[in-house]
Amino acid sequence: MTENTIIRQSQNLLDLAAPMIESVSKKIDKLFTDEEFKSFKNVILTGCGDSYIAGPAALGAFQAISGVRCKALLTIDATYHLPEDLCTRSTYKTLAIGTSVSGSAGGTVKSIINLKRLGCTTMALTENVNSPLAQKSDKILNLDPTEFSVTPGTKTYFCSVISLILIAVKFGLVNGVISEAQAAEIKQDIIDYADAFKKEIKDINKQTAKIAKSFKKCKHMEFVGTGLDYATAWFGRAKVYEAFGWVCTAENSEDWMHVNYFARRPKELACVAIMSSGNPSNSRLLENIQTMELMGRPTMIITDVDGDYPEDMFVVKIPTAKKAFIAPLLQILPITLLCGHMSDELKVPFFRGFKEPWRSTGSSIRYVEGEV
Amino acid sequence: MKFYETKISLEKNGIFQLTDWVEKCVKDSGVKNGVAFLNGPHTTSGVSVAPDMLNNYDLLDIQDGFSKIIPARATYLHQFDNTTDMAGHTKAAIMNTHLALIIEDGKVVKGATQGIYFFEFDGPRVQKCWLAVYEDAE
Amino acid sequence: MIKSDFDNMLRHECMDIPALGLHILNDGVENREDYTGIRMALTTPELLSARKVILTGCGDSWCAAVAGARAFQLLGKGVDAEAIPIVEYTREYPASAIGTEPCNPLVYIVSVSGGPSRCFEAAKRTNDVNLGGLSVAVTANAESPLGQECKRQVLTDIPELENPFNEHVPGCRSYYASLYSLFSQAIRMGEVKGVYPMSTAGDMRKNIQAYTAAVNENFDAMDEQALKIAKEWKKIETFEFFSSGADMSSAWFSAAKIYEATGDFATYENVEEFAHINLFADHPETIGTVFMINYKDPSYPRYKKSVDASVALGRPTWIITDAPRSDFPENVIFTSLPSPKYYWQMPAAHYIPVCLFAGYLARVKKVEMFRRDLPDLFKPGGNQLRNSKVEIVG
Repeated sequence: MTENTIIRQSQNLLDLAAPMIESVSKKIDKLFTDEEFKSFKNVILTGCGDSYIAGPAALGAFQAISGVRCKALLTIDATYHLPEDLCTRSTYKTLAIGTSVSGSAGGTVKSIINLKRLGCTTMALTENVNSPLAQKSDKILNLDPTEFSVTPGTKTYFCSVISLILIAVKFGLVNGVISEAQAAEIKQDIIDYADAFKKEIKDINKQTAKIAKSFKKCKHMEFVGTGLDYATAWFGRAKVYEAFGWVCTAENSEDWMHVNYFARRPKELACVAIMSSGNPSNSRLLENIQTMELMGRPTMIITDVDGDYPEDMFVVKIPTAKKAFIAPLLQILPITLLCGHMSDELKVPFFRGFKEPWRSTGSSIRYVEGEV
Repeated sequence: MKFYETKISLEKNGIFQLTDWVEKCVKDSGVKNGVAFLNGPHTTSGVSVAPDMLNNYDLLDIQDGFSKIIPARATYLHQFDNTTDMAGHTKAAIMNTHLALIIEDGKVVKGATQGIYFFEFDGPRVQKCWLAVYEDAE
Repeated sequence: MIKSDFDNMLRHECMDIPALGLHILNDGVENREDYTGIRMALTTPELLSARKVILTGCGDSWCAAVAGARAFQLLGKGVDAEAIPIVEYTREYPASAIGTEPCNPLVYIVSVSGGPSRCFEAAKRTNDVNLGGLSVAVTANAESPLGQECKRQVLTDIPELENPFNEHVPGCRSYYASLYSLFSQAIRMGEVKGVYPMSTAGDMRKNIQAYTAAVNENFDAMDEQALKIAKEWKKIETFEFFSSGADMSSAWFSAAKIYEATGDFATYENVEEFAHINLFADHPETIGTVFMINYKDPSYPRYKKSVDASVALGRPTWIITDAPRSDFPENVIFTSLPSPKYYWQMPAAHYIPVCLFAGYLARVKKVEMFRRDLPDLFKPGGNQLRNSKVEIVG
């Protein structure tokens, strides 16, 4: 079994947690003084593709521990659909964080320009300090470079999410929501989560290789999850497009029943259900699973919940995160591994090998100076 | 009886001077002695004789006075419209939407510093005014 | 001439939308003689008290909520309006944000039938958590679980339409009715807040229906085109719909109609993410790609690159818009719609060409809507909409 780059990255990123936490935490401390951090009561997270999804994935952390109001916005909404009085109608300051590892995603750059115009303090979360995003932002959180490869974003996503979670931790500290001990505990929980995955990753890899052999007969995929699990579902959807080019959807557990249920050829439609322990909507997802079984949908369940799952379904058991908001960091791994194996099985290169017509059309995401 | 209609465009809480129009209509009617009835056929506006000074402060005071005693509020029993409309109904009833004017020697009888005004209590709106001019029976 | 072989109930629903709009406006639905009706569903103090408005629903109703949220944001003078997927609202939305002050949040729960468990759950959560927010059912069924649980009702009315095909039809008129109700409520909020005079409010209400009539003035041409596209795209089994902002409601709704009408695979995305994600779909020539574009939406400039990319990829591309034809490349299918007087009202009729297409596609593919031709697989109640377990997260 060849190990393509997404499979390798999925395994290697588990070693990144500890060094990243130390490195990024120090960088965050230097971004603003504590007083400046305290002055922000609103945070906007934005980005394109995976970088957008990092926002919803980190929202749980902001809601649980930061003491600030946080929203994840699509760049198109951050650029074109915000009210002019976004910042002036409140006496509180807003910090807008644009995530783009390359720093050249046009949508993200334009949204940061607009958010700055509206009165936000802006920050770039990027590896490239010379990029348009970094240059146009007030502050830069400069991520350490990850290995460059043409791979559906996996390590980069992990780095983005962990950075955003650490920013939430910082806010929690300065706002008095969490203590130093609690902040240290959260960081340790992340490391422990990664360590727990290290013990399971080989088995998960084998399992997803087997699932790929079954799923390759399908034509589409549907990812189902609610709450923080929906961020993982969305991420999964993006990976499928990038890794092997299937058209796929991500849906929450309720709307899946109203719409996706009616797909005509259920056996051609692989489903991935994401269910983490403690998620209040799990009862609905279990009903989804029952329905998927009735329909004969090939299904993979990514979960840390023990249960009586249908025998025909693939259940990928993952470790439990000690805090629910940490789960999105690594919950993605069965998906990235599956995508790697699917790409191998189907013999489809990532990003279609960047051959034409994808090569020239792909450049439409880059920022063009002066474009607003 | 001679009947005249005009339409006036008013801003929110607008005030319109009708004296010139009324006098023009009376002159046009040819009535020497009689009465004229002015009617603003709306539920959120009124007509009144009010001070006609070099500035419009008195007129603004009238609007302000009405707003103080009949403020726009959410708890009127009449809920169908908006808050200023609801208050406008009451203001219109108190000011009244009709005015009777004496005509003598072909002119409207009024004091030297009096004018005839239309008061809008909601708006912006285009409102009508009607004038009916009657001659004394010989 | 449209061949009668391809006629279908979705087509009839599309034809009827303007008439339904008139019925709601004029026949005692918007305004009843006793001063009840959609307009008077909430009192002025209630509308003035709301600082946060949440709109929610499932399936088509969720789409209406997305379009409605924009109306509240534009007209509601500073009210914080948000559309939230219903299961996110019932299970994930923080309890601390519900019912801590009177009428807050103001929660519109949309469901024409009023039957789904999740809708009842949304109403119950709104009522029971803390001191309770203000739950409002947007429904045609006052006696439904949703109608009965909510503190207020925005009651619409959808007269029966003769169904000579005896087929269960994907919701189209019901969608219009939900949209109208939410738009009307947003208009009412702006009206009582004095954002605009009553004459403007009345004009806005009338224009929701007037826009559908303007779109349907071109019905025959749209109809012919829809059948033509259905025949050309007969072999396509995958569709992607793109739009932006609140017009995503039209994209989402259209994707749902494909699932319901033919069971083909359909997805929806905003036009920016097309360039980051959907672009990489393999076999682009097999993906029916539809851009639903609102010319007056501020994001309009973003569409050109994505449309050009779609064409360059060889995707069969269809644009449905009120924008000028000259803004787009030659080799696309183009459906020209009139512009609504109020741009945020475009969702009221933007979906009509796709509904016509979906109905024809089912006929051309010789499949039945809602999988009635597969009764063993799609048993009634199989998707557990009305008997899903209700849990109140406090």
